[in-house]
Amino acid sequence: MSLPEARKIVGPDIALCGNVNCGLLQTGTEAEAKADTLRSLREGMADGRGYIFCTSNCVYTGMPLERYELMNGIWREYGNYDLIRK
Amino acid sequence: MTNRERFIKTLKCEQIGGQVPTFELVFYLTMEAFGKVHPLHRHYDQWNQMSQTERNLHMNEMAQIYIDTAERYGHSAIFVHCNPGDYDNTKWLLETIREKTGDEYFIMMHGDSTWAIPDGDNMMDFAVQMYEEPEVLNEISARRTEKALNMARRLHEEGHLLDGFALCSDYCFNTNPFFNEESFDELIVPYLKEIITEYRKMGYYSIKHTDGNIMPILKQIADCKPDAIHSLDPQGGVSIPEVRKIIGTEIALCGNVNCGLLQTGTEEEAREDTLRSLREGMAIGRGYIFCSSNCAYTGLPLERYELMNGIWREYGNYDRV
Repeated sequence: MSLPEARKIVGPDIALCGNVNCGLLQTGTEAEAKADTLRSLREGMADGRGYIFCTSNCVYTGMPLERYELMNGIWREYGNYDLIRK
Repeated sequence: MTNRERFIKTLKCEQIGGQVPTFELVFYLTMEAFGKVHPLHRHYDQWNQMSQTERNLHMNEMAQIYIDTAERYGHSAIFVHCNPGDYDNTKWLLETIREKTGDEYFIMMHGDSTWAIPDGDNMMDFAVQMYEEPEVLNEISARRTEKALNMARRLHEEGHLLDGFALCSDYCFNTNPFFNEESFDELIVPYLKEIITEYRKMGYYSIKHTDGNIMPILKQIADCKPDAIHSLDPQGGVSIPEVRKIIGTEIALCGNVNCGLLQTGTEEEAREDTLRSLREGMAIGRGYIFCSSNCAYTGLPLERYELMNGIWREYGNYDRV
């Protein structure tokens, strides 16, 4: 699923949640997980509204905690509408 | 003497002097006591999906909960309830507790293969089968006995990780046993005797537990030669002096503190009953293990368990008596 494609179909007035690739979080390289997290943030925040950042499933049993914390750290650094505008 | 040595000497009905050993079949109140969920309150459906790191953390925490409980309340024995309960995880938990405590504590787990009172869903069918197809029930008992003994053998071969088994099939209601004497002889005695005998050959001790009024079948239970009989349920009218008259002085006794009074009696009633149990249990100077007549179950007020435990610390000492 792609956020831009979903937006085309649902329009801007239904919020979207997720899209961070759990497969890459679990078994991808750190660089792949990081790049995918940034992509999700960028695409989700593109409208400037209506996006909730999260994994594309959940923080399931067996997911390495450090990968969730990597994703969460990227959100803290880059997941801010105001900082993007600046 | 270690706690384990004191517990074993008591199971052998030897004099130990000093503090009467105590333990509980389960001490469920770990959230109140330690801020930790009891192992039996945990659902480990995703155990195999966990990372090894997470499994290690859970296993270590469960082991520590058992040890903390024994240390805080002066228990001489740890009844380990393995969760998950498969062989490999059972072995892991037992090894972890042994690594952390050495031989300080007597370690036991479930090991009964005999029929218990059936639940409400099966009681009618079971009762019919007792009379129409006792041989079918006995075939199942034989298979379960062999399975339990296989587990015991494997653990024995792994370095005797356990000291004994608690045989926890309940046979009795408060009024009377579910099994009459003839049925008990036919359906229970052969397998109870066999499992206790075989455990003993491997060096394990056996504590036979059942709630309720055991008096009509007490002699039959005693003749199966358990090392101890547990619960001695006063709500089922069981009295330590009366039990001693029937079984003599060479089987240890455990329990008799009235859980009903602990739960809903006044503080004074709970205190008096605890003192009575200690006095009657310690009367022959040996062979008594102090504990509740069931377990420290979910919902029992922690302060009542701690009241009982405090009385044991103050009055449960052979030397001071």
